[in-house]
Parts: sequence; structure tokens; C-alpha cells
Amino acid sequence: MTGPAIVQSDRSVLLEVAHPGFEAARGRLAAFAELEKSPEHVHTYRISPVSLWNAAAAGLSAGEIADTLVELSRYEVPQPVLADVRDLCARYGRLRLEQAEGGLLRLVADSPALLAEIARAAPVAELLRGRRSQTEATLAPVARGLLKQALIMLGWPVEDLAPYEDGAGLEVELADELEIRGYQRDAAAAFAATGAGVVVLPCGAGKTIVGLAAIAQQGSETLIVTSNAASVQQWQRELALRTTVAPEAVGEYSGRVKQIRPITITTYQMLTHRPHRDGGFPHLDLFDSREWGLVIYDEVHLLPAPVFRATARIQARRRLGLTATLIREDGAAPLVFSLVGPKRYDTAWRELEDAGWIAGAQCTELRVPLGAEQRMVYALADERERFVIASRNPAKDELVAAVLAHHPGAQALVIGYYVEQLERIARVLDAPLITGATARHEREQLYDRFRAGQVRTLCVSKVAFALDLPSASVAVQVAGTFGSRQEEAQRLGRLLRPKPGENRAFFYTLVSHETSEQEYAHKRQRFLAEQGYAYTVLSAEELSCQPERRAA
Amino acid sequence: MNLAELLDGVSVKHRSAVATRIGLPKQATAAEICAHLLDPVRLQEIVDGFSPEARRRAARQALGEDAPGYGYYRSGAPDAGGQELERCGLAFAFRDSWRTDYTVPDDIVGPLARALATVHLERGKAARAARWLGAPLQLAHDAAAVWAALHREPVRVKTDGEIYQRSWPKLLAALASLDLDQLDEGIRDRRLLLALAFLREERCLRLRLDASNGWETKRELTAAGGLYGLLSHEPAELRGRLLAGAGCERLELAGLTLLLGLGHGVAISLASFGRAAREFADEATLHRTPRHGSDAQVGASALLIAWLLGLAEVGLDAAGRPRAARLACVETETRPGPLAVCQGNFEVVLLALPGPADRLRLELACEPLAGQPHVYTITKRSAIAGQRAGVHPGGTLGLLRELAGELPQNVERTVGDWAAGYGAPLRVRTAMMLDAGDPATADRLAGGPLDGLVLERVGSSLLAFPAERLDEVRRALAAAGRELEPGLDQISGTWSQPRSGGSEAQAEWEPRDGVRPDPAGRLVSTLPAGSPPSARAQVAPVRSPAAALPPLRLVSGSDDEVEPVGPLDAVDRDDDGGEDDGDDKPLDVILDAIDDETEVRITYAGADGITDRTITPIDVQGAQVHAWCHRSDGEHRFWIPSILAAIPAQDR
Repeated sequence: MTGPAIVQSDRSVLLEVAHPGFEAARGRLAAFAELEKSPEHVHTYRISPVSLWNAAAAGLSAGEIADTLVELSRYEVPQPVLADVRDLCARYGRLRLEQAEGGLLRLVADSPALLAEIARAAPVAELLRGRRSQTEATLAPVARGLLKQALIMLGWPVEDLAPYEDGAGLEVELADELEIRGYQRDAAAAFAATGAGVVVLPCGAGKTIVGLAAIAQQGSETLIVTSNAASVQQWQRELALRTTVAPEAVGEYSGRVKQIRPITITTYQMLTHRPHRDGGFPHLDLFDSREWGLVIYDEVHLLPAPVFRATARIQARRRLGLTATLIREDGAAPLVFSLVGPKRYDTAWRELEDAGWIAGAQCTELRVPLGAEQRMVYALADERERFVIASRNPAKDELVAAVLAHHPGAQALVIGYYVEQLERIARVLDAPLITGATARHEREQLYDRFRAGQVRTLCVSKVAFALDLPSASVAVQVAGTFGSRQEEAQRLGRLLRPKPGENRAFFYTLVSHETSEQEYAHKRQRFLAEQGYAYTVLSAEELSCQPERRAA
Repeated sequence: MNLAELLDGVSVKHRSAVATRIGLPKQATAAEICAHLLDPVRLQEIVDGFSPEARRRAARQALGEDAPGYGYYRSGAPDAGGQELERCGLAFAFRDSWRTDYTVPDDIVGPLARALATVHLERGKAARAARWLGAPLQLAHDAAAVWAALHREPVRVKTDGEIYQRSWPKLLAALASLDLDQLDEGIRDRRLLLALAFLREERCLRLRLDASNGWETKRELTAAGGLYGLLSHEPAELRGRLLAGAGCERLELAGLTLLLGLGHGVAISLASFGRAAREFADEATLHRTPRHGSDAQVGASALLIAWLLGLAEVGLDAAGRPRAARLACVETETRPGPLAVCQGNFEVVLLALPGPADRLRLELACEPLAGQPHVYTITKRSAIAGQRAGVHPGGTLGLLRELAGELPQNVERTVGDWAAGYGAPLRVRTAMMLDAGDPATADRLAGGPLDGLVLERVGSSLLAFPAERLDEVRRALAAAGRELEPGLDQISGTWSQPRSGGSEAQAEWEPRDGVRPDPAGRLVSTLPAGSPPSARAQVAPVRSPAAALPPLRLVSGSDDEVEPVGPLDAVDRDDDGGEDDGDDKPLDVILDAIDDETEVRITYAGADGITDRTITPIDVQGAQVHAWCHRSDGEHRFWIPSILAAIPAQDR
């Protein structure tokens, strides 16, 4: 029998899903490689310096990793890969950061040559105060993060063994009625054992609950940084519903209000906002405004550069990163490893789906032809106008109704970009519409009615979509590229809360046939397939041949 | 030309001299000599007894440096090394007007090379390796990748046919990364050159010219021909085609010969192998191999062609560095189950190692991903290229289904959309059209002499007929008292439109004829006079059915030295046993006279009119004969074109 994996020289590992050894191999690979793509037949894992240091931090040796690769591989493992594994793993643990006398920290190297080598680098030299011996140097506590940052840029991870500050205390407990799932408890425990690190869970798996458990375990004032305003509201709602914390102890620090309370929730955009283009980032002072015992970075893979700098200053605080993927499109994963911490917990997407903790997703691209008149307008337009014409194709309006008719009883979201188009569709569907212009209280009201099942279909624009509506099982996207592919996957992830009945969510994208919109759709198609979602392409006529999906 | 043919063609005395020299009885037949020389042990004994000169000459012949032969001009001294090989029956002398060349028969070149290589191999160190790395028919995979890349996007070339420097990296990127590449950066370039040479020889490349305004404004090298069928051949046949098409450099040929001498499974250190290959290659040339790179790097270069053909393995040490080499026939490992799977993200992942034909299908339907030899991606460009290649009747989708089985619905749909409307390009072929000039003549010809030859009447006065029947048309017209005016060139037996001054770039990408050319001139014996059994072996004329040999004639000499040779039905001699063709050109007579130091009677058209003279030719220099003129009793130069007739003086 040949092995289930193919190791390639670029340090990617292909794992064949149909192979009998797949399940066992997946668990072993996940210990030292990041899952990059998980389409239907062959999953791709990536071995990176960070993934190897994560493995080393978890106690895995280079020999064990190399043996695993050789054992799982169908063909000869490229020698440079094995050499890289040995070299990179050997780097972890050779530098340690420890508490020294007089309130200082000391950097301990395992050899005089190593300390001499790194001390020659200017960014490191200026942070070190002096040598205690040939293998030890001291530094000020304030330089702790900067030193780790400088060393990771030189390719040297530091094992940070210096203690954390407890911060100001806060009495918080999880609500009695909250049934915390096993994997959420394990993730919180793995974090608590070390005090700094990242928990990786798929979209819809309840990362917020892990954060709440960490706050309860820590029992200290907490700063939560998340990706957008809707997410701030979600954290607020979850804290109110699932913990014993008093509402007045929870503050929102946003463009609208600037509350700094024992538990404060803010966004990356807020922290990196600056009044003048060349000025500083005044809101980063939030990190120092209270004695935070814990900082939670939600969607840590989106952490922007200025926040890294601020994070470097607060290395004595406990830090929890939450994400669905450690892969960053900007290649800054080593900084997450260094400044937030190594990966502490990870679980497979399919395991959670099999256990019913998240819903399965079916993506469908519906191709709609442009009308004859629109086709001529499209043909004569420039490239930018063409995309708009294709996106606003009026033929989509009726098709939305046809899609929803296929899911009788389901709670559905219609997501668009152009308000005029959404207004037309809302009229056709006789459904409420939420746009950026909708008043906040009115939005909340509609969301609540949707959650309660009083409203079955909600039309929302891009600005209103980034929120958690677990009861929605159908989403129809009628227009727009909506930012990065990661964000799109996150949006889809929000549909993945467990559903009653067959536990499936349906994501439709309406695309004008033979237009530039189809090119964009192709990129999305590839990305979603890589995330493991089933993807089907149908014409408008073929939709009617599909079986009806009645909601439970 | 093989050994048996040539041994049959030389005189009995020459054969006797050879037999005596190699330790056989004087009366040994050509077949016995041939068997003796082709016996590796005997041949090794003969080679071991070579003088240094003979070794160098033999090495030059064996490694292709001297093709078709190496000789000396009339004015020069006979070549001692060549004569030694001739005496051993391993080389034969051919003489034309200007020079004498020695050539080694085709079927003895390989055994001779291996025998010469032995001494170098004996100095090589045995080696071990942590693991062995083979590349089954990698050159075919490289050719497939390059061909597909050119099919997707042609590359521009300069006026002399050279590929523009900026395009080179694009073609290099088409080649998969191999472990051997890390040893020497030149290896990758060489792989590309070999692949291009093979494609050119197999007529799988075409230079597309844009010369619409009378000037070559754009020259593009693009894929052509039926590479798929070629790559589907049995490995052994394909290997032969690859070797013949790609060609070898001297060092590579030395390496290949050394490997064949090693025998299967015997490992030699790569550094030793490199040293041996360099020594052997140096022996075969006056221009030594440049001393760049370590011995191991030279070894890798020498090993390359054998490795790319799947005839050798490279031994890697525990750290993955190439350390050893050995002869081994490397075949593609077969694995049950599908070759590849296609995923919804448009990736095709190889689950097993493909053969060259499957590689081509993959490369046509998908694009390779850098650094990921097992992963290909389907793009719009590749979908169109696959469709246009015309390799599969089902187009790109057909290719993909054969490679990866059932396709995901979204891939099937999208690729179908992309490829729709594309197909294999239609080809333009030359038709033969006879322009009769007017309708009445066309009617008369079509119904008369050309009845049955004309395929179709085109317009009022054009008659179309099959190109291969042009000769019949000419004869029919000639019989009817009509002739064809010139307008077509006959090249290699086929007719075509005259080429409009074929450019240098076109010439660069025309296939080279890789076949070893036959030596020019006639077969002679140059064994020195006085050496037993005969100073001047004679050659009887032989009429070869294959016509592979040039016409053989008797050279001048005393009658008693002429003996019939070979089967009697192959001998074509004058009754008097003299020359078979009495129409020797003056120059031939003069050249023979130089050899024989005899006099010649010439009729010369000089400044003082046409005269008869007796001369003793000394030398031929350019278009002049340097001779002692008995009439003027002094040295004189005669213009060869002005010598109207020449006969040996004793014939007078």
C-alpha cells in the first residue's frame, strides 16, 4: 500500500481524501502543517517556519516530523524539505526569554556564538542592555515584544518564559444555561495553560464562546479587538446572554461611542484610525488605558501592522488569538506567532460537520443571460461600466424569487451592493430592506424579528451583512465582489450555524452569463471549492429542474 | 556502412594484412575478421595494443569529433593513427579529389568506444548511495512540457533563429524542477536545448513568419506536428528517437559510453565518473574540455543525457547531494487506480507518475504550478490550448476526463464554456494546378492526354491533379508535344513552390539530418608500401544493392596486384581487369599520378593555344596543378579547367 500523502519540494503536502489512511494522516499532519486548501479529493497542507515552530512549541521534535513525512509519503520526500524541517525546528528553544533580577528580563541563548550572531543585528543590539555572560543578555520589560519581533524577522523564534501580569481583576462566570461544547472547553483550557496563543476553529464553530470561556477562566479586565462593528455587537450580545458580567461593565469603543470599561470591545479599523494621514494612531492608547489582564484578537489573521506594533508593547499581558485560518494573505503569519503566540488548539472542519456542530454548505452559481438590449449596452461600455451593467442585470430580480421558491419556509438573506437593485428585489419579494441608511434601532429590530422567525426574507446591502444571523439557511448574493476572498468565506461561514433538519446551508450567487462578472465569479468559485464547499454551476433554466429544499 | 560490407569491398591482400595484424590466419574471410572484431574481448585486446596516436584517432571517431572521418590532404603526410586503425580493420580509407579520410564502420563505433572507455573506467572509484534517483524518459517529459508551452504561447526569435533572451526563462519555467538541477545551473539550460533539438528533428516545431510586406517582421517559434503519437511509442523505441533527435555533445557521449561500459548496477562515484568522462572526451579532441566546475559537476553534465533517457540513475547521499552514478533502465512506476483527480478549484492533482503521452495531455489541458510537480491548474488559456491542439476528439474536456475521470460539475461547465467555439486549426495544403491558358486547351487536355489524371476542373482553364502524379502529367504532355514551363523546384523527390529566399531563421529551425553521412570519395587502401602482404591493397568494384556505398573502382596499379574480391555476382569489372569506367576526369588521373609519382600526358588550353604536354604532377593547390613540365623543363602551374584531357603517360 502506498502512502496517502505526496510531499512536494515547495513544502506543500498533498493528502488524498479517498485513501484509507487519510483520517490518521490528517491528524498527524495537522500537528506541524497548516491546512491550506480542502477541496473534495486532495487536501493541501503547508509546512512553514511558523507551523514547524508551533509544532516545536507543542513538543514535537524534528525527527518525529521527518519520520511522519517519510511514513506518509507515497514518493521519496524531497531532501530539501527534510533539511528545512531539521533546520527550522532546531531553531525553536535555542533562545529563551526569562525573568531576571531587578525587574529586568534576560535573553538566554544556548551558545555564545548564537548570542553573538543575533546581537550583531542592529534591531536586536539596540534593545539589549548588557551581557551577563557569553550566553545571557538583559533587556527592559518594555522591549520584550520588540525583541521578539526583531528576532522573528531574523528567523529566530524566542520561547517566552517570562511571567504575565494578572491585570485588574473582574468577576465573570459563564451563564449556567450555556452548554459549552467539548472542543470549545479544550481550546480554552489549552490557552489557559500557557497564557498566550491562537485558537483555530472553522467558521460557525463558536469561537466567541472560547473567548468567553477564556475571560471567565482569567477573571481579569479584558480588551477585545474584532474585525467590524457588527462583530462588536455580537460580542456584546454574547457577553450579555452567556456570562454573568454586568451590562455596565461592557463598553464599546467605536466611532460612535468611546466607552472604556472592564470589558471593552473595539475594532481593528478603530485602532488604526488616524485623523491626519501623516499623524499617529491615537486610539492605540486604548491598550494602555486600563490594566488589561487579557487581550482577545478576534479574526487574528486580519491583524493590521499598527496593531502588531501596539501588541509588541503589551507582551506582559495574556493574549488570545481567534481565527479560522492561520494563513495570511500578506505573509505576516510569523508576527502572529511571535507577538500573539503559537497555535494552541486546532480542530478539523469535517469533524465538526460530522458531529453536527456546523452545517454543510452548498454553493451554487446561477448564470443569467443579459437581455438583448442590455447586451448591446454592455458591448459598448468600457470595462468598469461593464461590471456594473452585469451586476445590475434586471433579469436577476425574478430569479431571486425563483431561488427562494425552491426553499419554502427557509429563512433567507438577499445580499446586494447596489441599493437601487436591492430596492427592486425587495419590492418583488415584498421583503424588508436594510442598507447603510437604515437607522440603527430599525436594523436591530429587523434582525431580532428575523432571528425570531417573524421575518422570513431580509434584503441587506454589503454594509449590513457582516453580522451573525444563525437562523438563516439560504443566502442569495445578487451583486458585488465584496472585498477579499477571505471575507467572502467568512460571510459564508456565518451561515454555518447548525440547522434543523438536514443541517445544510445554501449560498447562491447570481452572475450575468458571458460577462466580466463571470470572471470574478470564477475566482470565488475556486476559493470556495478550496475551502471545501461543494460548488455547482447552473443556468437559470436548470434551476427549475433542481429538487425543492423545504426547510424543517 | 557496416564492417562486413567494407571488409567485402577491400582486396584480398588488404584483408590478409588485417587478418595478420589482428592475429588471424592470413586466409581469414571477411566474415571471420568481422566476428573477431565484434567480439568485445578480442576488440579490447586490439584496443589495448593501440599506439597513443591510434587511440586518439579512434576516440575522435567514436565520440563523433571526426564525423564522417578524419584524413589528410594530398599534399600532407599520411595519418599514422588512421593507418593503424585501417591495418586493424577498424577504419577504412576513402579518397576524393583533395583528401583521404578514414572512417570507422557504423557497427563498430559503439563497441570501439566502449573498449576505449575501459581504461578510464578502471581508474574510477566504486561508490554507494543512500538512495538512487531515476528519471524515466525525462527528456520526453521535457519535450512535452516545452511543446505544450509553445502551443499555449509561441516565443519570438531573432533573424538568425535564436530565441530572444527574454523568452528563454518562460521556456525554462515549463520544465519541472529536478534534483540534478541543483548541482549545476547549466543543466536546466541543457535540458531545454535537448528538448528543442528533439522537437526540431521530429518536425514538431514550426517557425511562423510574418513577411506580408516583403520583410520578416515577426518570427515566432510554435508547436506543430503530431507529438502525441510519437510520445505514445514503446519506451525503447521512444528512447532511440530521443537520442537520435536530441543529439549528444562530446562529453555526454563520453559519459554514455562509460556508463554502458559499467554494466548494470555497478556504481561509480560521480566525481570519478566526471574525471573519466572528461579524460575520455579530451582524448577525442584537439580542443580540451573547459575545466570549469568540480569533477562531480562535470560528472552530472556527462551523465545528463543518459539520465534524461532513463538509462542511468544518480546516487544521492544522506543529505540528498548527488554522489554516484550507475547504469540502470528506469521505467515509469505503474500504480493501480486513476492517474489524477480533478477538483472543484480547477486543480488537477497527479496521484501517480504519468508517462510522456499523458504528460503531454496534462500539459495541454492544464498549466503546471511552479514548485508543485504533482499539481496542475486548469485556466481559460489552457482550456483553449487543449481544444486547439486537436489531440483528443473530445477536446479539452475529453483530455481531462481521460486523465482524471469524472469532473466536478462546476469544472465541466466552466471548461465547456471556455473551450466552446475553438477547434484544431485547419491546415493549408499545396495543390497542383495546371494552367492551360484558355478554356479550349483545357478541354482538349482534360479529355485527351490528361484523361484520368485530372481530378477537377477549377475555373475555366485550371486543371487540378494529384501532386504525386506530376511526373505522369509531364510524360503525358510530352507525348502530346506539350511541355511544362519551369516554376516548381524538385527537392528530394518531391515538388514544391520555389522558396522565396528562405531566411536564416527558417534554416535554424529546419530539421538537421542526424544520420551519419557517408564518407565522400572512393574506398582505397593506404597501407604503406613494403608492409606485408602488400604495399598497396587494391579494391575491386562492388555494386551494392542498397547503394549505401559510393561507387567502388579499381585504382591504378600493376595488373598483377588486381584481384577479384567478394561474391562474383557483386563484381563488375572490365574483361581486361582494368578500370571499370574509362571516362576518368583529368583531375583524377593527375591525382593518381601524384600518388604513383608517374607522368601524365595532358592536352592543355594555354596562352599559346592548345598544346600536348607531358608533366609529372607534384601537388594540387586550389584550382591549379603544380607539376614538372617536360616540355618547358621546369616547374609550372596548370589551370585545372584548362586541362582538356589527361591520360597516364604509360598508356600512351
